[in-house]
Amino acid sequence: MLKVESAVVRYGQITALHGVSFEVDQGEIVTLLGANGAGKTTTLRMLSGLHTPASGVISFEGRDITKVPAHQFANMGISHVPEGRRIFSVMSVEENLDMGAFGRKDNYDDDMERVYTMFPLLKDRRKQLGGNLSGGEQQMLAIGRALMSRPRLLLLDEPSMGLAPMIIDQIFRIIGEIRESGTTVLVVEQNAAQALRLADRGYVMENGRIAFTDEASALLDDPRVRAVYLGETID
Amino acid sequence: MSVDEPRRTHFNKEDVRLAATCVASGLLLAVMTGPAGNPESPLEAARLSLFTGHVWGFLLFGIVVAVISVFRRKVRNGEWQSSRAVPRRSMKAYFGDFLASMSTSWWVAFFALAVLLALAIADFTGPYVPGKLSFVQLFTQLHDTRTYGYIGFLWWIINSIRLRRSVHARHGVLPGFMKTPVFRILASAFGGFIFAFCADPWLPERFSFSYFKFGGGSTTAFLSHLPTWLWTACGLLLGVRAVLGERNKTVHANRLRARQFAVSSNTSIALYGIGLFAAFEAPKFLSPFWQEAIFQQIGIFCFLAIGLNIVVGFAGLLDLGYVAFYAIGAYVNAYFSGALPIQPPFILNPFLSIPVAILVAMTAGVLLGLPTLRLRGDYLAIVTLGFGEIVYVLANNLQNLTGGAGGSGVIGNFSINVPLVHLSLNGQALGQDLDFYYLLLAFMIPILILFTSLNNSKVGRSWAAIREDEVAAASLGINGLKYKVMAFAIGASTSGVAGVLSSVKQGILFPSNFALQVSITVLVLVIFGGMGSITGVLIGSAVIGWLLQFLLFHSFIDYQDADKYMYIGALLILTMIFRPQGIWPAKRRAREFHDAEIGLGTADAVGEPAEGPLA
Amino acid sequence: MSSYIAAGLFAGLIYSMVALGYTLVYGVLRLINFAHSEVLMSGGFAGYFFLHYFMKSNNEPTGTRVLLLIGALVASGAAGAVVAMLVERFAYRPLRRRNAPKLTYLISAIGASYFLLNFAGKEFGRNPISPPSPISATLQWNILGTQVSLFDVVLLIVTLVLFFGVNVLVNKSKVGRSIRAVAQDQETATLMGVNVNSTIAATFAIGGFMGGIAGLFVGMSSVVDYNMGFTPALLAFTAAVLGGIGNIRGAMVGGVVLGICMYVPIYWIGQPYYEPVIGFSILVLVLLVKPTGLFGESLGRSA
Ligand SMILES: Nc1ncnc2c1ncn2[C@@H]1O[C@H](COP(=O)(O)OP(=O)(O)O)[C@@H](O)[C@H]1O
Ligand SMILES: [Mg+2]
Repeated sequence: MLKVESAVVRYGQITALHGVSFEVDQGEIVTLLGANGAGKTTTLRMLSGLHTPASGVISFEGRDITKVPAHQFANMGISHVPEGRRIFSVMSVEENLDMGAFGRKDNYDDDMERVYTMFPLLKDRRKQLGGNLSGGEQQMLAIGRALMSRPRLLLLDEPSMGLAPMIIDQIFRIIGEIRESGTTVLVVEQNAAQALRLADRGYVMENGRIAFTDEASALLDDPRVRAVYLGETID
Repeated sequence: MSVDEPRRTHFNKEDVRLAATCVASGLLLAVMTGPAGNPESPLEAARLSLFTGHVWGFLLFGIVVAVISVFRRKVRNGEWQSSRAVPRRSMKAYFGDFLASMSTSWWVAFFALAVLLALAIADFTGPYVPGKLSFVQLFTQLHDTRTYGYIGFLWWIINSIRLRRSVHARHGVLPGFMKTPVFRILASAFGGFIFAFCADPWLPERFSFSYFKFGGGSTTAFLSHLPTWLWTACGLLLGVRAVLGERNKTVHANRLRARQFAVSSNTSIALYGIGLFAAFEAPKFLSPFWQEAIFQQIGIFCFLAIGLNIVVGFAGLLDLGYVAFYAIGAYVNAYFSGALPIQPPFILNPFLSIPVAILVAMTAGVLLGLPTLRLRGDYLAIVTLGFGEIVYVLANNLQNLTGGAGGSGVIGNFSINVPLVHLSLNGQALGQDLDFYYLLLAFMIPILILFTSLNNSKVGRSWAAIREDEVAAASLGINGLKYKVMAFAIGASTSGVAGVLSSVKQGILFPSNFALQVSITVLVLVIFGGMGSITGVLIGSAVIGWLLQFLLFHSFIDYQDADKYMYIGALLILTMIFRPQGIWPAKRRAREFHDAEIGLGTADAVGEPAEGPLA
Repeated sequence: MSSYIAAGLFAGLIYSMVALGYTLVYGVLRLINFAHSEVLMSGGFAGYFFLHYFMKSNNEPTGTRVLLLIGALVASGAAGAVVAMLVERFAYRPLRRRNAPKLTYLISAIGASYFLLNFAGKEFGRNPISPPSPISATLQWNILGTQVSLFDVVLLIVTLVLFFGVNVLVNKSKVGRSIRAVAQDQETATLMGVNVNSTIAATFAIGGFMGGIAGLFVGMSSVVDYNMGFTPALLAFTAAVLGGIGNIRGAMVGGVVLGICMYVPIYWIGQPYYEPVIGFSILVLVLLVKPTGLFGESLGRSA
């Protein structure tokens, strides 16, 4: 479904991605692991057009999307839940969801209902300003907002960051549900153990490169992963 | 699609848009430089410019620029080369290689192009006539000896690029002595000399020997014509810079940082020496017109620019009411020389009113800066804009205080009368233009030294820290507000001093001398040269100041004095788009601009202050 | 005294319209658009040319006058919008693409302002001209002891209609939603599918439209010349800050409050040319006392 071939992304002189290649297949949950600064966020941002690769090719559903401008990605079926949630803090919950459906010309009331059933908390707060929500609620809103465009591929950047364990469990459960409903998911996580248990496959990034890849279950047992990413988090 | 496959060459929407923009700019230029219009028949002027020969030159220009920029884009994006070549190469290298590998037939074609270009330049440098740059007009330039100078000059440039690239390509065309630094510097200086020769407007005598002789202030003597030496000096500097640039690179590569500093400071001392010498000697050879202009139109503006550079360049703030402090200085001086309708308690010699002017301007600066600089930096811009306007309105309307729009009375003279030194400079007296100029130098040089060392001191480092990241600077204990107010006040007092100097020279003050345009003009001087770079600002001011005067008499376009602000506005935009660091940038400032573009730091202090947006 | 208040009120309406342009651009880009004064000027010239060509005599029938007025409003609004968009396209967008420091935007906008100002001066001459006015000058009413002319009434109606329109546009329409989204977070707005460049252009266009119409009114009430935008724009900026820059309602109220605060002291001083002095003192005072203005900042809050 999604295929990245030797993508290079630079910030001015600094090269953040040195030729990254990977694939995501229809219906999968794939997780991208790596230390801080490994280039995970940069990869996701590239996948939603916020960075254009200096070289390399990205194709989505067989189409070359390397040079497509960023604002067309939502319409193409790629949604991005950015790092740090980035919800519109002076718009109400409902308006935030409206923004998620910005590119849609058809009626999206069903989708809004679906988001509200997925996150009942949001329904109670639909008139409240986004900025007044708690961290967990904001994350739910960000995910809900991304679902409003009916994406076929959902990109999640550290959805568990800064949240209480109970909320994290809930978020991960919902990611599972989203996959069940047919959306492919690419998730970046610090919380490697939990992400690997949920995912089908994983890629491990180091210094702007894909270091290695495997089935998620294999990665959970991989000594390299255990040593670096699961050191403290394994239970 | 595989990465190794060479990209196909075709033009996309971006290229077309770029080309269209260039051609449209050519047409806009034609309208800009054409005759002035009137509101009764608003489109008449534009029609005149667009449907006469005048337009052809600019259209041609637009097309040439379009071709070059599309070419450049293609090369930069790596679309116009095979996949085997190095990924990114500069336009310059590409073009140089092209020249170096040129075959004879290309050579001839290039020569033809050079001839055409030379004709156009010859036409450009002649005076404006309606229908300028029509092809008929263009070919009449063939009768002009000057044209051959231009052809020769272009030829010289093309050839030298070609030879240099050949050397790099190890074709070994150049004899060894040509590679020595001394030769290259001299050759570069000679190039400047040739250029001056080409650009010189006094042609008929060109090929007679008398033309070359020195003659104080004569309009026809080439050797005593300022531009001759200006261009030669430019060539010299470029040569020195090129040679040193190479050496610095080598030294840097050897990681001998200490030596690099030694090299650059030695050369800069040498360059300052040359500059100083030129500043003292060159004006003596000028015609009376330029002897006056070099004080009032160039020198004072250099002085103002140096002061504004502290605010814009060093502190990264925008001050649009800079001229207000200039006005304050001028009126303080006028007041203390008894020229205003209200009489002072005692008369002061302008020398003594300078400290008073500094004090008053500085106080005004602090009073204005303190409340505003606590807020977002861009508020300073608009508050100073308003302040400038207020001072202008007051000067215009407070009849009993300033004499109003009709001007003040006559202002006193600079005089010193102590044993050994007897000096009396009076703006009304004839033949004292140069004396004023030297007086200006006497103020300017210490100020230059002061500002340079200020920039290298703790204060300068604090300014830099605030520009780059105000929050981080605050966490290091740097009080942003204090240093910003300080920069603002220093700028204000410099402007005040300039006000005193020019008020004595002008003798009478008209409020119209202190309109907003002056602030904008000074801004463009700072920006064009390179904000934060004292050398750059001086060079920029001198070049633009000279150009604005030059165009008045030798304009190839329909140029009136009032039009200059149109060009200044355009220059501001273009500089910001294409070279925000200016033509001769300070290294640190250039780096900041670059860093800011990739998301590191801010390169100015216009954002929100460290204490919060509206603390 | 009451006539000064009325004069201030009506002058204030013009400031409100201009202030809206500052506020919208500020809300979206966090920048003072220094070229906004030239938007006003271009509106003035467009209105002048329209009336100059189409209004043949001073005693046209009422129907024609109304049409002429509407035509002039559209022409000047369109000219303002186009000039504002051109400024955005050529003075702002190239810098935005490069992620340039804010200082460069300010300088580039000053450049644009100066270029346009003097370009107009060169092309249209530098002498003030008065457009013929389709609004009858003889119709006047006496309200609460103040002479209110038809011109004032038209101005009031146009301003109210435009502000109502802009309010609906920004808060209810899709364009408005994208404008508010871009104002809050450009990158996330992009992720939602908002084209940031065209949204910003639309923002300039809306502000420019109002600015252009304000230019027409300035022109009809005094003169049109290349320099006409400067003082009203400076005062309008003050109005925007007074109301809370970035806030649409703030622009409206700020303009009126500023107008009244400015004209009442003139009643005491009796010298009309001190307008800018008073306006400026108000600006400094506001910045000292309450820099967020009467209504607070931010375009995102449903303004
Ligand atoms: N705006 C930026 N400017 C310059 N470098 C950046 C920028 N953002 C990220 N980087 C660099 O790119 C690399 C990858 O960053 P990122 O993708 O955020 O990593 P991760 O999400 O894996 O923690 C890091 O080395 C970081 O320093
Ligand atoms: Mg990250």
